[in-house]
Amino acid sequence: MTNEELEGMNDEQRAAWMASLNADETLILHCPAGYRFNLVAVSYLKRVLATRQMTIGDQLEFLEALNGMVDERFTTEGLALVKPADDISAQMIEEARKLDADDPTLSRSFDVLTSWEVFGNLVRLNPTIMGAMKACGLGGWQTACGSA
Amino acid sequence: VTTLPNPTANQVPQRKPRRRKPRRVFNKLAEPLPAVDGTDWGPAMKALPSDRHRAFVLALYQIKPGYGAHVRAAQIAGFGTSSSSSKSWSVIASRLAHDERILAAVYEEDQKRIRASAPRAVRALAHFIEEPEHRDHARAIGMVLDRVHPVETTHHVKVDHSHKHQIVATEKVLERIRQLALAAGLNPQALPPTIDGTCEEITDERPAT
Repeated sequence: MTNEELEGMNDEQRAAWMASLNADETLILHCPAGYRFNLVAVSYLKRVLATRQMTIGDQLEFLEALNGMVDERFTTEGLALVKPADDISAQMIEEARKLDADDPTLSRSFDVLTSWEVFGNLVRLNPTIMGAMKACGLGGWQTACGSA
Repeated sequence: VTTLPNPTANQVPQRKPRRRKPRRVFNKLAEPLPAVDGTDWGPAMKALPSDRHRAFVLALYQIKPGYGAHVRAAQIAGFGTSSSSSKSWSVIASRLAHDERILAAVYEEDQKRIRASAPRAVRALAHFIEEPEHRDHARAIGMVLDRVHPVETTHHVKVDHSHKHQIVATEKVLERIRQLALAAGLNPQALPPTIDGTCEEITDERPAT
């Protein structure tokens, strides 16, 4: 399902589509966009840390930023579960980042990376993101309460 | 036909009393400003040309502020004459009020008086703490304190710190990196080796051959 197709749906079509989703897809659908972005950022930061040589100051700064994403929902356990992004995922993220140009708010890349289509593909390429979502109950209120 | 005699016909016409132009009296201070032991004028007050100017500055603190205050202060200080018109008074007052020396003296006196009122403001602040419903009271106190202790309360120095700290690979830093990496699920041993020094951008300029 592409972003364009989703936007073109009316309420009935959308309700039918939501009813057809499996458990994992429902989890993605109900995961807040902020957490989606954080999960993508975690995977990308881990890739950068694991593959690029940098000064010890940069390394410390990146690691501090990585650990700073933890909160009461997205726990350290979830952070540890996410594996570094692979080549294709990294390329997708870097292409999305180019949309921001000099915008420090990253609003364009945020919209793209957290969209149903792109985030869904990133989860398929890096299933540990789904694992972290399940471990932390990031699929919305229902899953956080353990009812779904 | 009898005509009635005119009673005033033979009288000498009375002269209209000549109105004398009132003599113009220059105002002056009743007496020079008294010198009080233990006090002294500040440099700006001292620099004023006369006691009348100093009196004008002091009068500004005695009269009710508002429309006509400068004129009243000028009158108290002994400027003008007994026959000065309203227009003259406004000119005199305006010149005085905009004189740089007067302005400097007013500023100096402001500082002295506000500082002198600081203990009262502090005391009122203590009172306010006991009665927090007095909002306006607190604002006024804050204004006074801001002026009395500008360094402590309103002097914010903004420093743009463009220098980037260089982190040295001490045992403590390495241990912190190890802990953070483990917490994030990364193997600290598998991280690429760090590079030392600072990076410089090198432009690809080759000499023409």
